[in-house]
Amino acid sequence: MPPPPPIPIPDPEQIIEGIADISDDPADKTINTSNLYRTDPDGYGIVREYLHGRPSITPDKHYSLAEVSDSPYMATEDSSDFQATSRTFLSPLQTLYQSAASTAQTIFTPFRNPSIYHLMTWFYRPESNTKSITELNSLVKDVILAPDFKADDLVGFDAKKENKMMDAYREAPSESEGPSPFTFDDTWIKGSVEIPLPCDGVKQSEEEAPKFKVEVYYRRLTEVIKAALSEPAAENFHMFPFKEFWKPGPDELEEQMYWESYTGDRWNEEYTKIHADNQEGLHHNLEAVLIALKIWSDSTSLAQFGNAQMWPIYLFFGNQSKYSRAKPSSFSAHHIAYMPKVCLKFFQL
Amino acid sequence: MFGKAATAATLTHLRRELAHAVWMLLLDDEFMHAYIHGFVFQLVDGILRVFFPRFLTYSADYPEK
Repeated sequence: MPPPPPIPIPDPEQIIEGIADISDDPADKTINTSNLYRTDPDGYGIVREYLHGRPSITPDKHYSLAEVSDSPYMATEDSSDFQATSRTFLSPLQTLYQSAASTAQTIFTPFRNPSIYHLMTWFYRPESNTKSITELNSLVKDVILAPDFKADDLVGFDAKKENKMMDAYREAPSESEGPSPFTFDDTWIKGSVEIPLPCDGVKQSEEEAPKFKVEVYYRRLTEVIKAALSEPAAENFHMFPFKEFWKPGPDELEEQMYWESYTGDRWNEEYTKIHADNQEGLHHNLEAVLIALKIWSDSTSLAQFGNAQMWPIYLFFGNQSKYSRAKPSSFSAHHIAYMPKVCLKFFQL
Repeated sequence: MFGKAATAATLTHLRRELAHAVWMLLLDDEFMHAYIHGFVFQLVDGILRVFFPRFLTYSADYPEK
């Protein structure tokens, strides 16, 4: 197992414009090298090359050792100060909190009082699925020691009741309040597909064959992507591909390094295409971003007894570093469909 | 339906048909439009960008099994 990746990436401010070789061949338009950005070598002598200019997002600066390791019992540096200053992505509850400042709402909407708000926010922090030292610190610092925390507020507290209220809150958003921060159009849809049934030994065309209707639960793919891009985890998504090079010695040739799909040639090539297409498209004034979908599906038993099975289809994002994506606690798998298993019973009716 | 049980080959075929049908459902018009023209979305940094979804990997067991 290799050690964690070296992550010291220069700030965008430190990225300087490189002078690239301008191709003499005017027909060579596949890569417009005049826009190439090359970073200064970092502490390991590694340089990055962005084909289409300085990236507007370099998420690696957010990474700390705690984010790429997964031991709940390891005391990590307190990252709460860091989060307060550099986090731009907020959980829905925090979004509410922020938007409340500009409206007449109380800051703890939809909860009865600030104490319950702090407690619920702590519970639904994205990284709070396992309790750890960091979490415990946060409970004390962010909840119990909050200036507006009062133990009296919690009389009659019931987590189930609070959850129900959150579910019901602004299900029908009114225009004055804006869209509810809990609402995405990525809910599950009950759909159905029809597949033509062939009969062994009988010749018939596909159109004439009887149809069998199968119910499928799925989510709209585009909406799932949008919802994922709004999650706090998206802050660490790599939106722009790059190539990385390392020079072993002053007299030696540069070696290209591959360690994530967004450092790969294929992604760089495809991004070049998208970038070029977008220049001619309707939104040529906006920056193009490639979202890499990684689909995974495997037949899954639904219970430890019986043989109920189905095929879930999962979606992962290649834009997310593998070090975060592979952590079960990062919840980076998005479920997009549940396929039932066609079984023999259908035919014995 | 036909008064007899389906053979393994037919079941295999049907499972493949189902998987394809589900993907027809998932790759809806909205997605296909986004695939070709991109979709505009605002990240929380407040900047609008155009996002182009691409399939990087597809790993699945054979639905035919």
